[in-house]
Amino acid sequence: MKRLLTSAAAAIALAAIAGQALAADATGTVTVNGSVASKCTVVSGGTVGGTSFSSTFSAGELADSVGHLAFSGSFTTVGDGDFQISCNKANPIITLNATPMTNPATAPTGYANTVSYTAYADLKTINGSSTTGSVTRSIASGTGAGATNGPTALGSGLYLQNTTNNVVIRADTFATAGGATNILVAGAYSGVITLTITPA
Amino acid sequence: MKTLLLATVALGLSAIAGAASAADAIGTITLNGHVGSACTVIQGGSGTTFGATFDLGELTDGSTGHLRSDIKAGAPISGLTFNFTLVCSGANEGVSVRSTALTNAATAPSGYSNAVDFTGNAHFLLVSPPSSTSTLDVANLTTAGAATTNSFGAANFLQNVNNNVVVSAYSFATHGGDNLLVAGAYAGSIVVDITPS
Repeated sequence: MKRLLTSAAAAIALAAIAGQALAADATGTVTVNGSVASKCTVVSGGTVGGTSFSSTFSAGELADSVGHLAFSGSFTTVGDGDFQISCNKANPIITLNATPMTNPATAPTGYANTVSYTAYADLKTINGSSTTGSVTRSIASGTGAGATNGPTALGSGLYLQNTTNNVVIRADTFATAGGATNILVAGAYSGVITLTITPA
Repeated sequence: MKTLLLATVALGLSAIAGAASAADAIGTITLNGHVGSACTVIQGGSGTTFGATFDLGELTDGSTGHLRSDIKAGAPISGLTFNFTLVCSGANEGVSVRSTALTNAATAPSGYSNAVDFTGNAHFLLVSPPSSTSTLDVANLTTAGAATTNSFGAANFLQNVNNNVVVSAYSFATHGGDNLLVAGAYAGSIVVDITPS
């Protein structure tokens, strides 16, 4: 009889121990996802958050007293546009196009209605290690319909720096089409530099 | 005569021995049981695991590249509150909440960020005998670097009602300041652990 009682008590005790083993933690996991689309937008120098930025440079009187090109300077958007462009992914595509300054009047021999120049885009860069640098793209406008550099990637792993004037457009080396001795016909001259930054 | 008297004594001894062999046999059997202190999931999961997934979609404002403003609020936006129903058989259960920032695998240079911090919160509906209800909120910021721990408190049980555990997320902020968020997919989490006492 004693043996039977001892066995029953042991069995119940084991069952109680098994019950205690069920005390597992309850664990809940809430996963929160999101995404950020690759984009390039304007911080300054245009409509904030938009995709267009612009500036106008007036060279003033181009010719000297005898009608030859007198303007030998340059211009830059630093202080006149102050572009800051935000691209949130490395290696955007850069395309630089320049058309010469032209006047619609027809120019006879010995005259010119076109002024060529060289355009530049200086892009301040930074990589994942926060090493800063600069990439410059340039294109000579020529005297025809214009010319294009690119599209060419900014560089593997290179972002635009998140800083003011991270994109600077400038121009220099103005020259009269056909030669410096040609006389510039009177009138208004206009050329356009277009920089396109395409998100990677 | 003396000899007869001796015989009488002998009979008396024999009667005493007979009374001792007629005693009751009493056996006592004790029945024990146990209810393990356990927490199990009724709604929002199974067994001891519960969870949910929420997609915030585009994290930036779509134009400037900075974190969108609605999720910066100190209260969860619509959809960022998750209801669960659990049963815990014991009082004073331990609670741990750990939030992990949303991150993107891309390396972020200076001026950019690849992480979004937030606050994860677990809200518990409690009751203590006989029927005194209360709530417990355990919040954890992703910047804390470790879980926030607490307990239901002595004699406090989870209320035996639906949605007695509510998890939410709010106060999202770009890690490191209002930097530009690098493009790509982001993922973070809130882990709520309830330990039976």
